[in-house]
Amino acid sequence: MLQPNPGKLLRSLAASLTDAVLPELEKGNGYRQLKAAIHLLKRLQRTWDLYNDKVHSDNTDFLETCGSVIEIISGTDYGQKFSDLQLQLKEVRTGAIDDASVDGINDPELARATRTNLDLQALTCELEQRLAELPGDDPVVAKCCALLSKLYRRLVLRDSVYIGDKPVVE
Amino acid sequence: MSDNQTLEERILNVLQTALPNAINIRLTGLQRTFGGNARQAWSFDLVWQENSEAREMPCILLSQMPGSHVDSDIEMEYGVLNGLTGSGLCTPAAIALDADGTITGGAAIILERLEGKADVVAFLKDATGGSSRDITGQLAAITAGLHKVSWEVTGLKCGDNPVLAQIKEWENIFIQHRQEPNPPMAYLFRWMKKNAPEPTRLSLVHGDLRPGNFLYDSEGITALLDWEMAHVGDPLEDVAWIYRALWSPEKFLPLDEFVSLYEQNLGQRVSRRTLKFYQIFSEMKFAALSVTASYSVASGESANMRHADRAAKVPECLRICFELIDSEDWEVPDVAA
Repeated sequence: MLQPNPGKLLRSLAASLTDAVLPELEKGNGYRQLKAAIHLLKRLQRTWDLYNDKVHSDNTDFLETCGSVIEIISGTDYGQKFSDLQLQLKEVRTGAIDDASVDGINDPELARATRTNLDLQALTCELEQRLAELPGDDPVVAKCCALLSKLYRRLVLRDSVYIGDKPVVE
Repeated sequence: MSDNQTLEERILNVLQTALPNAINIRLTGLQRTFGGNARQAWSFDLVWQENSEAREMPCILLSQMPGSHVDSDIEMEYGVLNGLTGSGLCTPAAIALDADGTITGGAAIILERLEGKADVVAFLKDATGGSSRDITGQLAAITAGLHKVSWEVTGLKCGDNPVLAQIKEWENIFIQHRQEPNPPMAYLFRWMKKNAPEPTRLSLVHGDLRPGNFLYDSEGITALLDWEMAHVGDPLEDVAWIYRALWSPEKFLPLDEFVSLYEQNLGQRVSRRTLKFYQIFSEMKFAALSVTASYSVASGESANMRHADRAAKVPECLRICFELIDSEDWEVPDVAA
């Protein structure tokens, strides 16, 4: 049984609260709280089914970009400082994750992807921090920083779609 | 004994200490009022006698709310307002400080309640635009006046590098409250620390100057409110914050015109590159506030539904930051500085 789907449910919930409950309240804290809740329901109605694509696209991007950066920097004199991150990335690629449950996510595969995403976020932060400690005028370091810099812009753009700020583009 | 009577007695206790020469102190019209997202507020009229003279003053009691996304120092705020008394700036008089929270359970201050409204929706919806344009022009002059006040009178501390200190403060707030590592946001804080311009002047910075935080009436601006984020720093931080998109008066008075008026009243030109840096800073500060607000609901500290989805504001802030960064060559020295 697929209907009504979550998007329709969220939309009708927002509409019912707006039409039938909000007018019953006096203007005050309760009224403002309900308006905020309705606003959130409407955003969730626009975006509830975008999470899966968002997390998988981000994971692919993290793996490719961080993989490229680590491969490049590993071929330099600084490589030793990144050997643990290289190992961590390998573990993420092979799916060696201990705890796949994530609060708020019901589907086990999606929970695993979310846990992978959080691990990749942390790895990227650590990678960025270590690169920042190297000479910025070194061309190889600058190239690696530029790759991460572009990654951040792509992540933020995908966030904008996932949040509902921008429309989904095929 | 009703809650209001109990509250009234607690207020009177604090006022007795704050006004040692006053006798026959009374409150009338005590009632709850809207204090914003982070504060509880009550208004009342204060009547007393001093040196055989009858005195009265409309007052407002502001108290921090539990789980607030703004972790502020109310003693500092009281000190700033106390220091600004007599400065010529339109600020409410500071009457009393309840640092121990004896009135409401949270630290509180009692201020003079001034005429006017702080209705940001009405301000931004001004159909003709004339009134809001005039008010924004006034704000440019008042902001310049604020930045000419000697910050030492406020009792604020100024370390070796107050600009870097501000960036680090917001970075720490982000790190303490983030629900995921968020590498783009972490990167942007690092970028700001690396690219922060040297300020041409250090001033008292309001820290939250924007439509909604000043009172106005038909004559214009009557008071600057909400000084809980005041600090010493680069004054362009205030100019950039006023023009954040969410509350920006851009449609009434473009930023360039505001800056021209500001420069005229300040008596010196300002760096447009530095202003752009503080536009980036403003987005990151708002992003950090949003992360904190979201955390307060997720952690159970707060049940404020208006904060539940604040994390959704962050991507737009970061997108704007990257656009601003990409619009400038930050490696080239700023000739206007």
